Amino acid sequence: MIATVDRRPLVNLTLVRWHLIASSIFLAISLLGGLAYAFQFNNMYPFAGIEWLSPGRVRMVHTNMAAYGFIANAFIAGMLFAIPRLTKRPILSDQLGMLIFVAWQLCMVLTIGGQLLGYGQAIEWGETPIFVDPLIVVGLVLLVVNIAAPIVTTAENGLYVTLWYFLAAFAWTGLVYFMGNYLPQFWVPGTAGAAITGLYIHDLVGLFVTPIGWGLMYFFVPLLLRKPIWSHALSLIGFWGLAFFYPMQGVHHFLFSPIPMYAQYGAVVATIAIEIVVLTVLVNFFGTLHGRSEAVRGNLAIRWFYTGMIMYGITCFQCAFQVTLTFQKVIHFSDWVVGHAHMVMFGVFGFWIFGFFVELWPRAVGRAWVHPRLLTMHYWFTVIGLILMIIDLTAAGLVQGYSWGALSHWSKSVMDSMPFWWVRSVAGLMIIAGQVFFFYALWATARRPAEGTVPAPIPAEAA
Amino acid sequence: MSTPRRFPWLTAKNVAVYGLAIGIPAFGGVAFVYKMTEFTMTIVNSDVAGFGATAVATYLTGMLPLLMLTLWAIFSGRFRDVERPKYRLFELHDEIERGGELKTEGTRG
Repeated sequence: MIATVDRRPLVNLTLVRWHLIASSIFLAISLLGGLAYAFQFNNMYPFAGIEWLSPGRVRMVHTNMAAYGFIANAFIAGMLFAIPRLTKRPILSDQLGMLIFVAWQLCMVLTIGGQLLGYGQAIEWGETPIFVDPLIVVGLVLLVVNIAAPIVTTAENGLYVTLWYFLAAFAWTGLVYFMGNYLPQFWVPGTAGAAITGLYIHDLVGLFVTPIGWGLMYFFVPLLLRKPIWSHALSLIGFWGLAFFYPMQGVHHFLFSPIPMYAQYGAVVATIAIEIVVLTVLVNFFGTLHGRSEAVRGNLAIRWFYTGMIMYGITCFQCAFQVTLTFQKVIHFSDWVVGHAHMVMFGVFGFWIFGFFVELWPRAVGRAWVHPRLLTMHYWFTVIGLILMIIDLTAAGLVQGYSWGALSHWSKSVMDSMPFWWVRSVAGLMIIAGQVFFFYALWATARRPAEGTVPAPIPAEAA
Repeated sequence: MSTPRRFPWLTAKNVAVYGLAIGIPAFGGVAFVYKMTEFTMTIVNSDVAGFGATAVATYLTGMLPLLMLTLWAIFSGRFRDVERPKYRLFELHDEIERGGELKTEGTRG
């Protein structure tokens, strides 16, 4: 067979750019949904009386667009950039990449439409309508085929930890999605189905978002710091720890439920084991930062990354306590959990994605940032807004939990929560104000005349 | 001239890495062994027969691709020099940023 020389650019920056654009659009949709839902708690819901824009449906759009629209698109962009540069091979097919991009956005639009029309699936984080699920599974399989091909065929001998994380995410994501969206719905009802749903909720974070997020961090942080990761061996220990212990902890979402206690206790211990894994990752990244700490001030991407890492440390530390039965008695079903979820999904992965944007957007559009000061304002508005929201919701959760525990009247806990819900809305407005700076900076940068200040695409093979 | 250390391998970094390499599987393994033992005892008890089967089967199915991945990595020599990839990252990056110096890796049969 005659070998043909592949003259495509190593990285398809067009695909990277489109995924980043889609990510920012779905971020905007998700944030507006979240804000509208927050106003519901202030008795000023903007769409009152409109069934298809009722708060319950808008909330699903908020969470699903955050996970599958904002985070997934940005992570795909990051992988499209990182994998060819780690393997020296382009993705399998640019056409397939574009097809997957279009199909994924179609899935998002169908998800929004389906949920607003009342076809959301009754599975937490799996509310994508039943008729969209098969498309998503097929899309995930095609995505894996397209972007795993360079890893499988690379001539590079030792696999860098980033690729280990990606491979694990590829192996799991489709499986996790299928398991969570189909088994409880069609084949495994009752408490066994609930156990699987718990597994799904946590696996979505742990086996899709976390491996890709950390994989991208292991790629970007050393390069931006110009310093190799402190210990590659330690990074692999963290990886294998995550791989084997994360899937066991899902049941901690259903403590005090009819699920057998051995499964609940096992989930608690596994969750605490994961905290040790988290420690390895943090030790590794802060060990790498040692001696380069001035980069946190001088490099905005690094600042986003390490802010997200601190959030990650806090949220995982919080997790080790809140999975215990003692904590659960107070915080279950309260706003504490909402604060925790925002810290994970936005404070960790959202912040990392903003760091990727800072680094990738100029390359994707071929122009340097036009208003760097706007990006700094974006950072401070977002970080302060989110910290305010987390503190507020955590406090609200404690007030609610102790109120319910004291068997106070339900309406009293609602009245006591009102001030907290106002603060939450203000914090949300602050976050959205930050994103306005960000979106304007993206748009203005893309529109400025090209100056050739950023590297041009590199050919996969020099002729 | 400084005297040679009695245990030159006993550095803070080695203690951290090897300590965690042993500690994590040991601690996490407790949960794993506990869950599997209880699961085995549960499935022979007809009261809750089959309850955990799906959850555990799902977990094991999730682990299967990872196990295959591990075996592939071992037999294809991906673990021969565990620290080498972190330096290779920079070699690749510099090569790509300089531009046009990539070797014939982008060929497809």
